[in-house]
Amino acid sequence: MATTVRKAYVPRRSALWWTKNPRYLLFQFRELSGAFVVAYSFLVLWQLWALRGGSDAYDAFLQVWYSRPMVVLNVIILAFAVLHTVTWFSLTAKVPLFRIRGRPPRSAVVIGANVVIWIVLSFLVVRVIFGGF
Amino acid sequence: MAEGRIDRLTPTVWGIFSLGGFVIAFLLPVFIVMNSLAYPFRLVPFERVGHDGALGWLRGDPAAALLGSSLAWIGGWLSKLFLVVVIGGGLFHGLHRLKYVLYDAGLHRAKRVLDPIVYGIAGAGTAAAVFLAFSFP
Amino acid sequence: MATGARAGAATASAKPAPRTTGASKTIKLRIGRYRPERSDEPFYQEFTIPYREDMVVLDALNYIKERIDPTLAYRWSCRMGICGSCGANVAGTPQLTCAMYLKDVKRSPITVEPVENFRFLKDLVVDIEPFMEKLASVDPFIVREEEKPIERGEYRQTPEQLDMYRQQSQCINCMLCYAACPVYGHDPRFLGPAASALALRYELDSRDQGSAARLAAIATEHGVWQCTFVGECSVVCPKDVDPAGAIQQLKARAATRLMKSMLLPLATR
Repeated sequence: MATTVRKAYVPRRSALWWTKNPRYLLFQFRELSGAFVVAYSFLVLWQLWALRGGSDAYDAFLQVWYSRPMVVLNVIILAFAVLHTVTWFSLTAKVPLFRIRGRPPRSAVVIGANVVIWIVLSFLVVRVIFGGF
Repeated sequence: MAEGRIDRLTPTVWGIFSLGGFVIAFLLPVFIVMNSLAYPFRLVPFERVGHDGALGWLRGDPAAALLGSSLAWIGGWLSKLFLVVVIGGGLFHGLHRLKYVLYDAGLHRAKRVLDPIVYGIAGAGTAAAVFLAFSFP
Repeated sequence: MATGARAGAATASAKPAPRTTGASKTIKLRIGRYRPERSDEPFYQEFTIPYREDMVVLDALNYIKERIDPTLAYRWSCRMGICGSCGANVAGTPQLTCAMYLKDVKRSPITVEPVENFRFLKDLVVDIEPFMEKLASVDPFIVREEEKPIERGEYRQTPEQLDMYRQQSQCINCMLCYAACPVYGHDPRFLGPAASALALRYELDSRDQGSAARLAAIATEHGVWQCTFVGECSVVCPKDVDPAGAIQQLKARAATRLMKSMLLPLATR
């Protein structure tokens, strides 16, 4: 059962624990990408709402949507979205979901397959949903 | 060994979080590029992103051009579902993650208050996406 | 040759550790001490000791205890990385002191502190009771619906079946993964990496039939669901158990089990 402790000291944990090594730092950025993904979802909801306002209202909206600050923001959001994609692939590669001949597939194979699917799906989205360039 | 009520909520929420994670991993980057960056970087002309172009996108014109007139209606469903899935998946995944960021920063004691707010916002946003997307022809 | 110890803080610099003083090299260590009968706060004590290329941190601790300060308290046993006793925080990283060569610590002085996220009892000795309780909480034994009588023989298993859980069975209970885990760091109620890996070891064991109760015990708010997959536990594990991967597998199992129980209630036990 419990040991007899005379006066156990409870160490204080630093709020900056995530600065202690690069993996912790990457973890924080990875989780922060969630904020940017949420932000973009709300931006698109705003965009749809503006579209309901009709032609003139939407043109005025587009002045803001395509303004320099918005483009910069969206580049940042894109960077975090890609960070999510890349880290998501390496995370899911560490969880063997199926086994081939008794062994889970090597993580390089899983990540590679995911990247291929990503490229193919992106191409299809551009072509079929957006009508290409 | 604890024998309690079976927790059905947490695995379900985690499942939605995982699904959302896959959806936005594959679909969000290309969506951001096409929706927010293609025109400013002059990859597409203004007609495609202006008011009429946007309505046409929601109608599924690009897909309809590939599928032919009899299957054109699929295009309309495709673009609207795409929006709902990317917005909804992004909200559930991102807000679930943000919730844990707040927990790690010390707010895990406010779990009973934080959880309904977080998933409530995600649900409301997804419902708004459905309503808005399908309010267009 | 070994200088006396001085209490107080020294600034660490990222220089290679050994210094040549005349005929032989010495090395400086900064050891975390805690003497509850003397003070409420832990303190550091510096020791300069003779240095050999093949010394590990544990050798340094043993030298200090044998030749300089016999009151230094720390855990160790096998000195070969299998007993899991000697975990410590060496230059800010969770390490087995028997496995960490002094020459690989690129700092001077070399700081040795108690392993993180555990309460200090004395010097480098921490309270491991919470960890022991967590291990016990996952039913770490073969559970059968009906036990076979001894006369009917043992539960047999092929080498392939053994391979399924071999990785998770390598855990030496050294607690370095708990030191590395930021979730455990801010909430000690979290089940944690090693206990979860232990649970998966039994889940993957073909002889075990206790899945329902075991998953119910660990698929809880402070069980596997609290993990945010930081992954540092698997980085510091000296035995490549990969507890991070184990926890995600358990999450997937719990979620799949729930789905199955909702769709096919009679098929799930």
